[in-house]
Amino acid sequence: MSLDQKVQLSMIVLLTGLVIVFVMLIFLTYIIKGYSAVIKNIQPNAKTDPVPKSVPTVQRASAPVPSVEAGIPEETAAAIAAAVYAVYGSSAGKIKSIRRAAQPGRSLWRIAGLLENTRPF
Amino acid sequence: MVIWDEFIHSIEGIFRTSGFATNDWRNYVMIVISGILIYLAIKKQFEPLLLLPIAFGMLLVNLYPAIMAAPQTTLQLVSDYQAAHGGATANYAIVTMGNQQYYQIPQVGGLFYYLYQGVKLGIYPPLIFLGIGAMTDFGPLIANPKSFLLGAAAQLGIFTTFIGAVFLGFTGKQAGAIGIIGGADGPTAIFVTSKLAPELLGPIAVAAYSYMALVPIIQPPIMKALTTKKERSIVMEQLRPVSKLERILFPIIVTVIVSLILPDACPLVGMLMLGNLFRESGVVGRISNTAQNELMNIITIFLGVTVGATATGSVFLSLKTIQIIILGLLAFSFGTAGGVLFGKLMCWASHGKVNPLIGSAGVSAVPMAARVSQKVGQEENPGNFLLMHAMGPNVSGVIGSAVAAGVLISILG
Repeated sequence: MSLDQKVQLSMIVLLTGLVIVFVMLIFLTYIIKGYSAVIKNIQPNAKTDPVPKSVPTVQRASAPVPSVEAGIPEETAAAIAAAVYAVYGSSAGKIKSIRRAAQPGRSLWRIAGLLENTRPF
Repeated sequence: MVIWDEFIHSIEGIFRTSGFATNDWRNYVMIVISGILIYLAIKKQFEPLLLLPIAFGMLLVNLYPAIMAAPQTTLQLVSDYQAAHGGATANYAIVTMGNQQYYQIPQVGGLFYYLYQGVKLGIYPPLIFLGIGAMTDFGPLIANPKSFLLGAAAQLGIFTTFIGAVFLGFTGKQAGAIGIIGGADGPTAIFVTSKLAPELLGPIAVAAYSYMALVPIIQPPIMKALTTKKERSIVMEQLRPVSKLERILFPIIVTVIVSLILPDACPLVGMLMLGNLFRESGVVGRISNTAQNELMNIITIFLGVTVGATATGSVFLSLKTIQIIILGLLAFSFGTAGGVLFGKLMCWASHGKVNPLIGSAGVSAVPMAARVSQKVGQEENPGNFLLMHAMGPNVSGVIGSAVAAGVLISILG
């Protein structure tokens, strides 16, 4: 390939690629917005979980990053943080620490036996 | 004495066919590399679900290259065959050459040759996408469709890397396959490479999955360099809840639109959305579970070992591989930068309502890239929860990279 051909091919792929990807995804953006609006009109009381309101703000870091107990993976910590936020919104404040709940001093077999013997019927 | 000679002859025969005699130094270098990848997968847990089978496939093919051998046909004189089989005839095709009749005896290929057909024929990547779709919650994207723009901007790495690859002397098809590493989506990279440049499948797959594993190391410096402390501290508005009907319609609408406009992206996007419809419909729980667990795991094993098995010493140890590894890193970096810069643009346009850090999640790599956005955001503001906001661009990046794959196949294929 000569230099001219390289430049030509590069420009064709760059422009076509970016334009098509953007046009396609912008198109999908409007389609989703459109059908979401239609559904809201059709089903004004559609079953969804209530969400606490929050106001977008710019906050300064004032508390340390939550201390996470050793052995708890990052994704678990992220999932806990997201779950807290999903339930309480920004009113949740800051998560100070994440640690495992104390385990009961019974073995699994003992718990199973206990359940078996205490289950009514 | 005759027994001794035959014994020595047999031992020599076994040695001649052993790996010690047939493998060259490049196979041994690849064995060391596969050992390093196995270490990274087990000890460092870098994408172990894929890196471990890839590394072991690499190990096996360099110990025993015939495991990837294609089936062949050998010719044997009919008289010789009958002499060796007590006069029995066989049901093989007979060819006559120089007044001699020969049996065409088919020889089966290596185990991985057959498993590799799923890669070569483009079967495994769409099946992986089926599982990904069944595991993915598109709720954050439906709640905030503008996230699609970040997923589009993060595909910048694919097309800029394409230019770099062309100027390094790769052909257009090879450059397209290298560029798709920037999509940070392993199955898409394999799908495109198997169609455009199957000869580069080994290095591209290893580069794509290695960089996906290194997302938490590659992305944060770029994200911090391109944003201010104030921007990183922005707390975003809670996403609205999404109704079940919206969730069910989403995969159907996306499939119809993408398939009509860009048919080459249909196998990937269609299967992704089919998996998601299984999940969201709520009526095929068993199929949904199979798609996200058993099927996904089986295909992952087949895909991993056979992709690893393409990395033989003679293919992998070349200047091209080094160039691909460097270009792959650039692709990831440009993709991350594209997403973050577009995030800044959206931040400006929305008067500070969008945290630009979520833009980096547009490179796919679900959900690791979204976790990186969350982590970097919380470093600045511990009360900030960006994970759900970053999942929007993250899953739109999957759709965006599939669309980009369709564009590359359409233009270059």
